[in-house]
Amino acid sequence: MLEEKLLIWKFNRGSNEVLTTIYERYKHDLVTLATALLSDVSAAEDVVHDVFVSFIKSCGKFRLTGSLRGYLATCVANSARNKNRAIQKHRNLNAEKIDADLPELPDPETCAISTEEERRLLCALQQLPYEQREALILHIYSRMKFKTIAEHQDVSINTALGRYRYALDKLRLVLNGEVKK
Amino acid sequence: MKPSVNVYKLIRKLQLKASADLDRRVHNDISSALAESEKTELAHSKPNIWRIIMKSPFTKLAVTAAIFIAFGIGVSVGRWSKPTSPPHLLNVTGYTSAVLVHPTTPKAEDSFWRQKALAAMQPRPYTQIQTTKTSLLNAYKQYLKEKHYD
Repeated sequence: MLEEKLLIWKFNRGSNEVLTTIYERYKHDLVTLATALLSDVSAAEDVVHDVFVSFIKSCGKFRLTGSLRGYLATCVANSARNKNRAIQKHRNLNAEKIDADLPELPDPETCAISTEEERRLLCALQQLPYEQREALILHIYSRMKFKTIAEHQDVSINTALGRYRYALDKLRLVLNGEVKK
Repeated sequence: MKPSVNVYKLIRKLQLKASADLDRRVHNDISSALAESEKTELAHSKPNIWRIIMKSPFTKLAVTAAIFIAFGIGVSVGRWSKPTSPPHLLNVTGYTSAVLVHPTTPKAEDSFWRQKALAAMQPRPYTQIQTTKTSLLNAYKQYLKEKHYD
């Protein structure tokens, strides 16, 4: 926590090394989070890039209230939600081309998805509704509290809990079905 | 197999790597943003005094107090000081007296126009010298004209 405060202090003073350090420290987590939310690696990388560009622009006036990881994760979640809305809107406009426009996970050789297990999990997550997927990923992966998730989704805590539970059940069902096959 | 444990662990273990393209883009942005901020810093290197004052609550309070004190001093000085009569007005008074005692002036002591002229010749503290002289002459001319017609 103290180290993060020091990093932010240096960041506000315009240190190049600190920006690079922050990026190097959190880039994998943020890309993973965005990919899990969007199920599209290139869109996820765009989201992370946008978040870092905004973060760089806040240099000199940035104030950290919680943890830096939590802040960046929230930024990525917000940005991913906007991106998802844009994708949905685009799909609705081109309803005929739905099959062609579905985001596909690239080959493991060309992208960062290393194992088959990860690929299976991302495919299973893709089948969940966005809100449920968001609640699940933010709670399990980003370790956010349900209160924070509820505030982020602008719903009650019980709704956030319900979404999490439904997502977990559905994910178990999907993964077990695949295992049975 | 325990699926619940697996799902939780699977998500926790999930770790994707950022591509080299993303790294390159972000590093370029960092470099350009820093170059831009350095330019801006050079352009705004002169400190803004008003901004410095308004940033700190203590200096803000001090400046407000100083303004109030200065205003109070200004009001008190203005209230208790008396306006000094300019020296040229004294000269005018002397001049008018001389006119009145001139031997060619008519002797009608209590006529209306004489009183009027005397009233006009009274020294006014806030009028300019030119105005006073003009009004004095006009009054005197009017007085002479009146006497001539009488």
